Amino acid sequence: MEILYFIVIFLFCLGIYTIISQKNLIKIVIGFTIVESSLILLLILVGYKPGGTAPILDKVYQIVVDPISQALALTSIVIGGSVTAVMLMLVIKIQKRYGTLNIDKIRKLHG
Amino acid sequence: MIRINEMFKKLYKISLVVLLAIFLLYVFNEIHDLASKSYLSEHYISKGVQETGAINLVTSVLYDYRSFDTLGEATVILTASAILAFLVPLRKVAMHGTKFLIIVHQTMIFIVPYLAVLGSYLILFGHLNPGGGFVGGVVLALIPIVMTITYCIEFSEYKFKPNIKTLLEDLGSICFIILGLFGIVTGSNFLASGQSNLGLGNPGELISGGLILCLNIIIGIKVGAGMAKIFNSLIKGE
Amino acid sequence: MELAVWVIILPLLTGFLLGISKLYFNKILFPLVMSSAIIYLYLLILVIQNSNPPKLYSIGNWGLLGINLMVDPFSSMFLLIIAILFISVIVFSMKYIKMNKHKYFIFTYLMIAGIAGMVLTADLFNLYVFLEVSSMSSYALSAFKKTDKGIEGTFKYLIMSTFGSFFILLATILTYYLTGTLNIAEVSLGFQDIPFMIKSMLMCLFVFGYVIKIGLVPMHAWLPDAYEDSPIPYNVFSSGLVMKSAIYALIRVLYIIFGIEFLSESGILNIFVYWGVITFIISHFLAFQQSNLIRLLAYSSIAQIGYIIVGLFVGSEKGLIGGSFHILNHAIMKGV
Repeated sequence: MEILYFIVIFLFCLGIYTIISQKNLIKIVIGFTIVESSLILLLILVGYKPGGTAPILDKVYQIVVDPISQALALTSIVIGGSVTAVMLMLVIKIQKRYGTLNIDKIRKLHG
Repeated sequence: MIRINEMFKKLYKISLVVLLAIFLLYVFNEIHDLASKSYLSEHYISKGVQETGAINLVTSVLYDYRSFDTLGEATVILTASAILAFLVPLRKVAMHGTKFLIIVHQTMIFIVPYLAVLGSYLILFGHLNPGGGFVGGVVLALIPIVMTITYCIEFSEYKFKPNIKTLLEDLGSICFIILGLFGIVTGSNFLASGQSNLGLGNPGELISGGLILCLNIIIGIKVGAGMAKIFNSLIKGE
Repeated sequence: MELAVWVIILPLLTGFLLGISKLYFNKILFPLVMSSAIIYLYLLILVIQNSNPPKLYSIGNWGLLGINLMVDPFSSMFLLIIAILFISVIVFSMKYIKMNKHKYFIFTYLMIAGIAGMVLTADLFNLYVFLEVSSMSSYALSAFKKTDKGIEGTFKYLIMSTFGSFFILLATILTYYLTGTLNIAEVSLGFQDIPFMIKSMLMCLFVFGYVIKIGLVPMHAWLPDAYEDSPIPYNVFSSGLVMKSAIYALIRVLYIIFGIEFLSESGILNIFVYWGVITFIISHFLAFQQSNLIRLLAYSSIAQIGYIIVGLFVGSEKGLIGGSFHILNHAIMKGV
C-alpha cells in the first residue's frame, strides 16, 4: 500500500513540473489533466479497506469499501473534464489569432 | 551566456518541484501512523439501505444524502456548454471530409441501437447495479458524436438540432429543482427523498428509492445533451 | 426557515429560464430580469433580518448526516454586500450591454448563485463545488468581448485559478482522511487530538491555494489581465465579490477548523500581517507606472485587499470587525 502513495506524489509533482516548464500550450493542458488524475487516485485510495468489496449490497458482505469517497471522486471527474474543455477552446482561439502555439511568442500583455 | 541563463531557470524550477515532493512525502508519512476514524461511512453502510431504499450505496450517497453536490455539478456542465456555444466563431466552417469506406457506414447503423439500449439500462437500473445517471448520460451522448465523426457535421445537426439540445439541458435543470421543491410540499425540507413521506418500496425492485429513479433519468438526459453540445462546439471551432 | 434555500435556488431558476427564453420567447427578457431581481432583493432583506441567533437548515432533513446551510451574522454581512451590488449592476447593465444580452444575464445569475452557495454552506466539499461554479461563470464573463487581449487575459486567469483549486482539493481530501467527516463543525471537534505538525502543514496547503485566488503579491499576475478587456459591470462584480468570497472562505476555514489558540501559537498571524503590508507597498509602486486607467484601478484593488488582510489577521475581535467593515467600504466604493 505504501507504493501507491508514492505513485500519487510522483504524478502530482510530474504534472506541476509540466505546467511550469513547458512552452507548448497543448502540453500545459495535458499537465493539468495529469494533476487531476493524481488527485482522483488519492481520493479512491483514501476509502480503501483491505479485503473489502464494492459498496453494492445485494447479499450480506463482511467488509465494504467506503462509499463517500467514490461519490466525491465522481464529482471531481466531471468538474475537471468541464474545465479542460473550456481551456481547450481558448487554446484553439489563441492559435487561430497568432498562428503559433509557443507561449513565448504570444506575450502581448506586460506588467 | 544565454545557455547558462536557461540552465539556471530549469534548475530553479526543478528545485521548486523537488521541495514540494519532499513536503508531501513528509505529510503522508506522518498521517499514515494515525488511525483513521470513519463513523460517517459506517452509518451509511449499516443503515443506508433501509433509510433510502437503494441497494447501490454510491447512488444513495450521491442522490440522497448529498444531492446538493449533484445540483452544483450539473450546473458546471451547463455553464461549460454555454461558454463553448458562445465562443464559437460565427462564420460557417467546413469539416475536413473523411473518406470512410461503406463498411464503416453500415456498421455504425448497427451500433446506434445498441448504444441507446446500453445507455438506457445504465440509467434506469442505476440504483441496483453499478452505473447511475452520469455514466448512462455519457453513453447516450455517444450517438450524436459517432454520427458527427462518420458522416459530416451538417447531417448530425440535421438529425439532432442544437436548439433541442439546449432545451433538453435547461428543462432538465428546471425539473431537478421542481422535484426538490416537491419535498417541501410534502412537509419536509428541500430535496428530501428518504426522510419525506413518500413510500420507499422494497429494496431490490425497479420502482424503489423514492425520488432516486426520477433524478437518475433527469441527470442522464442533461449530461448527454451537454456532452454532445461540447463536442460539436469544439469541432466547429476548428 | 426555508428562505435560506431560496437564496441559492432563485438565481439558478432564473438563469435556466433565461436559457429557454432565448430560443422561443425573445421579448420576455426585460420583465423576467427585473421581477426576479426585485424578489431576490426582498428575500435577502428578510434573511438578513432573521439572522441574529444563528440558524441551521438541513437539506433533505438528514441532520448532521447530510449537507447543512447556516445563516449567522458574519455571512449575513456578506449577503448585504451581494444585495447592494446586485441591484445596481443589473440596472446599469440593462442599458450598457447591447449585444448578446441573454448570455450575459445567464452568466451573471449563475455567478450570483455560486457565490451565495459559498457563503451559506457548512460543508467542506460543498464549498469547493460552489467555488468552481462561481469561477466558471467568472471566466465566461471576463472573455465576453471576444477581442485578442480579452481572450489572452482570460487564459492566464484560468490557468492560475485552476492551479489554486488543485491545492484546495488536496487539502480537503487530506482533512477527510484525518477526521472521517465533512461537516465544518465536526471537523473542528475532531481536530483537537491531532499533533501540531500535521495541522500546520495542512494549513500551509489551504493558505497557498486560497492566496492564489485572493491576489496577494507574488500571485497577483492574473488580476490586471483579467480586467483588461471585459465589460465594466463585470469589473464591479469581480473586485467586489469574487475575491471577497475567497477571503470569506479562508476565514471560515482558518478560524473555525483550526481554532484561535492554534493560530496565535504557530505564528501565521504575523506572517499574514507582513504579507498584507508588502502587498500594498509593492502594488502602489507598480500602479505609478501604468498608463491605462483600468490597470491602475486593478492595482488599487490589490492594494485594498492588502489592507483587509492586515485588519483581519491582527488576531483580536476588533481586528475582525474592522476588516469586515473595510470589505463593505471597498465594495461600495469600487461599485460607484
